[in-house]
Amino acid sequence: MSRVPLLSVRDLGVSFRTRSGTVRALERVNLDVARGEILGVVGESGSGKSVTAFTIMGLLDRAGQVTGGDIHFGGTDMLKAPARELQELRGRELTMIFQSPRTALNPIRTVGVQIMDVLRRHAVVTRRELRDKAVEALAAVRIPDPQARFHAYPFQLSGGQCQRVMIAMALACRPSLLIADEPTTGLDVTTQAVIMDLIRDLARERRMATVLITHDLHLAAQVCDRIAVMHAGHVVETAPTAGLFRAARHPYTARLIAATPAGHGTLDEIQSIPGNLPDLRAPQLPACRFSRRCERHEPLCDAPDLLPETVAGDHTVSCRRPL
Amino acid sequence: MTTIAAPSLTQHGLYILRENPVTAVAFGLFALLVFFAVAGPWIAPYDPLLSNAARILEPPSLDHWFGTDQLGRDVLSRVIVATRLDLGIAVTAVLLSCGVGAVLGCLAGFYGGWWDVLIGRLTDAIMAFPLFVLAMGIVAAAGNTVENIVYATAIINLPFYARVARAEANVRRDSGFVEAARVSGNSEFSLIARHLFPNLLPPLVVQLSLNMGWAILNAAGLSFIGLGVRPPTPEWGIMVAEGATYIVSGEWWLALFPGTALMLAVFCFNLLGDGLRDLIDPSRRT
Amino acid sequence: MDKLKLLARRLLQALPSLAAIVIITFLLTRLLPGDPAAYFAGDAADAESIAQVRAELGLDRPLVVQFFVYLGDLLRGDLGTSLNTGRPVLAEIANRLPASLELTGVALLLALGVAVPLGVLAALYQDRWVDHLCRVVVTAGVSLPTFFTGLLLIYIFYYILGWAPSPLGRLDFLYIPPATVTGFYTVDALLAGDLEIAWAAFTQLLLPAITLGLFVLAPIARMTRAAMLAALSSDYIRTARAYGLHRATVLITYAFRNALLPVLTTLGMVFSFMLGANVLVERVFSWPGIGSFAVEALVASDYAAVQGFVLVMAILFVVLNLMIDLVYTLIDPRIRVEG
Repeated sequence: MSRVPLLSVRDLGVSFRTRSGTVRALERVNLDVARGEILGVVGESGSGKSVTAFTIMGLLDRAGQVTGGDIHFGGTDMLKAPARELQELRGRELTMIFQSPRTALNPIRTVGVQIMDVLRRHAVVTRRELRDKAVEALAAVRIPDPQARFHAYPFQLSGGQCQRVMIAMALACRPSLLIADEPTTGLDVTTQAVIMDLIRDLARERRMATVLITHDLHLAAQVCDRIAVMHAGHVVETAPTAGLFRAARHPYTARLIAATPAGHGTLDEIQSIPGNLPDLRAPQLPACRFSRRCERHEPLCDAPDLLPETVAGDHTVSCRRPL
Repeated sequence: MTTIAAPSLTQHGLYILRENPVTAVAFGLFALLVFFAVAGPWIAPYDPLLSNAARILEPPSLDHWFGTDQLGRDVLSRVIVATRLDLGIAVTAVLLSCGVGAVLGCLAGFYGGWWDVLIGRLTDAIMAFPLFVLAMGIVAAAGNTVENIVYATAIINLPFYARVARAEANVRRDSGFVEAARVSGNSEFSLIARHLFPNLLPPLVVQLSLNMGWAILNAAGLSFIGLGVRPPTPEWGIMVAEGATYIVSGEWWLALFPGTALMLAVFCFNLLGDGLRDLIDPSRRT
Repeated sequence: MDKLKLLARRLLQALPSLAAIVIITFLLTRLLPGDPAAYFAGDAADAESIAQVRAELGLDRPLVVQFFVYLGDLLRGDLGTSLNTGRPVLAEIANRLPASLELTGVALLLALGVAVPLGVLAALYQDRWVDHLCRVVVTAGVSLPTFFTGLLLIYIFYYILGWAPSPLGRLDFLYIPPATVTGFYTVDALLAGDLEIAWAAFTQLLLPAITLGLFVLAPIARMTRAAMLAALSSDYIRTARAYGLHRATVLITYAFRNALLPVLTTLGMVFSFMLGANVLVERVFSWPGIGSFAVEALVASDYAAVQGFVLVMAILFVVLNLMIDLVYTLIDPRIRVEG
């Protein structure tokens, strides 16, 4: 399948300097997303999903540093471009929406004005047009009575409405890439479904490349075209959704699928994954960071330089003993 | 697998001192102040009350390291001896304030209801005044004595301790161990004394050390405007007041040395307070 | 209409404080040891004058009755008569108040003008020299006795450098005070078009205002720094950066405005300190405001004057706190809308 990726992350490594040591948060991360495609990035808490997102956006914390690899977005080398150029791109060409939308919005500014702030920054429009476009953006995310909601403050809105507002802000300038970091975690189930539908519809409508970060494999299965599974800072498997569920090749993916409630099984059928994420501060981390929790572990798994291998078409896996 | 033993208070304390040389300096200064307060009259080179008409207003010299004042008294001796009075007033006031405040706050937080309302009204009433002004009013009404300086300072600091105690008591009241103690038949009083108070101590001690500096400033301020301490008693505030009239004519040493001593004492207690807070409860750092 | 309702509610909330103030100032005289009549009559009074004062003030009547008489007097503006000057206390205080307000006002402006930028810069450039400077200022500021700072400033800037004018009041005796409009010499002189007197008044004001300002610099700087740091690490700042907003917009419109809220709350405590420190600064600089009036009254055991002073300062404090409350309500939509 020939597909020109809009966003291409190659061999990305990120470390954090902390008081208790250097945390090797990401190692050899490879991801790509094409226009109009929805990529899911799935993994447990602490697997590095958000760190990857922040690095792509250039929003990495002061203590973090990129130790290797590169990120290309459109024609831009995101790691080498000057800060000003990145600032221009953010909000206009690539954007992000966050978990807990209410705290992610400025509490003392109306939602309409916050959307106008983004528009004013990236689009050259008159004051009247700014307001109209902001109301349009609210309408596009299916907020009822957008004219009135324009003047609302975040604390007056529900969690779902706040998330819609954030999506409106993110998509106001019609970017070509959207990164959604756990956008529905913390919302009630009905709202989750509605918000996910909204994101998917908008992504399809605007042919946006979308990266959906979630710990919910089931959700990813419903919405994404392709899924990348992360564990402890590594991407362990990437595949088209159907292929992943039909024939997962990485032991971790298989266990993840088995651990996910699918809505029709019994609680007994769910199996948890033994062990915990390894401590990423440890000086000597194994080549495969899942090896200590893996039942298929053998000495050959400890050989260094574990690289992703293509097992079928668009399906890659990083494992010495794939299923 | 080896278990790591929790450090003792002394070990933890020494660690804090090593990590934070500033706190160590503060402790040293504190020790010095206590030494002067206790041993002042014996180590002072001259009698602080002895006037000498022949040697008035002399600048600092080898004879008189801090110079002499308008009555020929040795400023160094007066500054040293004043330590006892200044620290004494502040310490007494703060301990009194802390004691009464802790009890009141405890009652308010533990029993709630009328106690809470009453004590809340009391603290609100005190806080409705600019505190120094209230102290002035109390001393003016009760009489111009050193005891009343202590009481006034104690009263205006009361709300701080009452609030801390009340907050802690509130939290503890609903926590499990109080219920457990009750169920096992302990009387209310022993409950409060043995279970509540020890938990109140850390935040109270922190508040106390943070407050002490301000209490010293308060007391010195009151004596600067002529309340409480009367001449010829050596006290830093009154010495600065007396020295004030001479500063415009260039005799700086009368006011500078007691003022600096005052400043160092307050500084020392503030640093100590910060250090103690770091030792006991680092989460409250600003 | 909503805003008026909010205003009314805030005013009502201030009433308990006013009640407490009135009750406490009343109790201070009546319930303390000693004969109140003797206090009010003064040190030099003989038995007959004391008895006369007792009858005048109704001090032989039951306490409750006395309280209502006191309240009645207050509402009529009668704070008693000053022993020192023989004039009504309220008139004396009203006469002296503008001087104190001018001093405190300028001091506050100076303090805010230095402390807020310092706190903001310290938060932005953490662990750089600005931050360390801020920390030193804060630590030193809370340790320095106001009266000592004032004297030091006089010594350095008047005696040694000769830059500051003689610290003997609002205006050098060479000048005639301007016609009273606001009572603030600088403003009144400017209104009258007399630049020379305006400047003279301003230079007299500078050293005491700096002294008072230095005292409150520390808590304001500390709170600004903390509030700014908290705002900068908030989620909504991350969002603003994620959408490429200009650094200036992020810092000022998003972070700083949010940081102002806790700083505003701190001002309440700052006013408490300032009104107290005012007394000390006025004493050091011979500033003819109500602070030095109170000190003179204290020394002369002029009890009605001292009581009047405590009452007026406390009421001023309540009014200032009310103003802070109102500004806060206007700025923070969360309070404004929910009332």
